[in-house]
Amino acid sequence: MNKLLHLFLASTCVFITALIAAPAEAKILEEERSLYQNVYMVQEHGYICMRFRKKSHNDLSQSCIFEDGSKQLVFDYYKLAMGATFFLDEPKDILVIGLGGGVLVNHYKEIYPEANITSVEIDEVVADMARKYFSYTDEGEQYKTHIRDGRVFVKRAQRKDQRYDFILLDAFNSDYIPEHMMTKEYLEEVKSILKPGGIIMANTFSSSALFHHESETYHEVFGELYQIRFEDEKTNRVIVVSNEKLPEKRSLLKKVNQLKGIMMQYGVDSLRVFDAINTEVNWDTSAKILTDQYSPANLLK
Amino acid sequence: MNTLVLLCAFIMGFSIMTVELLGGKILSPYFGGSVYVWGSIITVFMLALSIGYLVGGRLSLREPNTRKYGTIFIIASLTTLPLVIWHAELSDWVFMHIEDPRYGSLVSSVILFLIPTTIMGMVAPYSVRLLVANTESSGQTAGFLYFVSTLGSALGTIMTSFYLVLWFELDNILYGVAAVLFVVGIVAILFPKPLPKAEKAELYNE
Repeated sequence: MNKLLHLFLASTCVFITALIAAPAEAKILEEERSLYQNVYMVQEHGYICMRFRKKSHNDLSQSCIFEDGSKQLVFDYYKLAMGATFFLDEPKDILVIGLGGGVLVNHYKEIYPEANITSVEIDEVVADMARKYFSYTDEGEQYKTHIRDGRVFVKRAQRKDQRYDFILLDAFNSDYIPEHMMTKEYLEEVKSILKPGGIIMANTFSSSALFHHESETYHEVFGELYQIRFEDEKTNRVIVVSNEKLPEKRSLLKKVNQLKGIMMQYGVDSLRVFDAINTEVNWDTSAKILTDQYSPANLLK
Repeated sequence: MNTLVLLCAFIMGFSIMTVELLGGKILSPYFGGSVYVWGSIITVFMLALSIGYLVGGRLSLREPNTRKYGTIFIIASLTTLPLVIWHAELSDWVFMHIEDPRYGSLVSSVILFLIPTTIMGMVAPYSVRLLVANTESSGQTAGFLYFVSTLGSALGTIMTSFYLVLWFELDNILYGVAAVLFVVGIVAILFPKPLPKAEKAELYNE
């Protein structure tokens, strides 16, 4: 018994020492506990980032912007997401599921100043932080922020007959995936609130077992899909799908050239993103599709 | 001799947690995966179990035997079936009528889980009644029973969340639970177990 007690005390000491000794390179600007996670706003290496964990690791940052107010995009996946603009023709109604820091919404607002943008974010604290640190704003008739579960929002939109030209699915963070928002049924619901010829873009992962199941699920619902991914980028990719036939890749070039200037402001090399677009089937097509009956997304990581 | 009852209680503990965990997956397409959905599910399960304990305890007063005990398992199995068959339609119906996902998930949980979980809760006190030999050892017997059934719950929780959802479809797991409970019920009915001796003497003395 004594031995056990010693062991317990010793391990407690080790644990506490580890806590104290943890390097504190990032400056924490604010931290708040929400219903879902701890939200940390940190300042490091010239960035301001939103993180859900204290530990410093780049992958764990959800959203980052440059401290000096530069419009340049920090993450590769933001740049990939800008590739969706090549498929869009002045969208009127945009829906964003998963606001995060609101970085992408801020940019879409600039690119499409006439568009109505509806953002859905489950975590009120995340939306508050986006307003406070990432200059996200929903002031004005055009913009709306809903604090609710994305799936519930989509289901309600379906019943209320709300339709969108462009839907951005971005409700993931680095280590948790909402399993009810990766299923065939969910994608069908999203598809049903898309206007004819509208575009759905999903920011997702490009590694792990989940990659195969997810790709196959998108393929099941939408048929052919475009993926945008940089060869050297191992973790993220962007999926582009539609409820109608997707345009030929070369027909996008006109838009790519048109947007070159504005993309440059964001630090996005349009041609590099254009090159990263492909319809290649690079997943295991025998992977089981994800459904409301079978969605162990978090176990497939 | 008591192994049968202990095994039954273990399986019931396992089953309750399997159904509870899958409850989250049943409701999330309609009400989301938010804390309040889990709040609704846990509330309804706790409420149902508490009613079940009460009713099960009362039931154990009148001529307790393993036949009746087995019948509880069979009823639990049968009341799980409507949940499996109609959970999508029922959740959808509630979704249409209640806008707020908090109350939507609460109402859905009541409709889907209250009855089967109440029946499942009846097993615990009834098991105690079948095991207790005398008043002196009653605390120890009840304690050991809770140990076994809660161990079943722990195993049911981890098996469901780590493995079962990876191996099987949601409805098939629930059908599995219903089938297991049905078989357990039949076994309990077929192998009547006499009440513990000391207790029997007390009964006859009355």
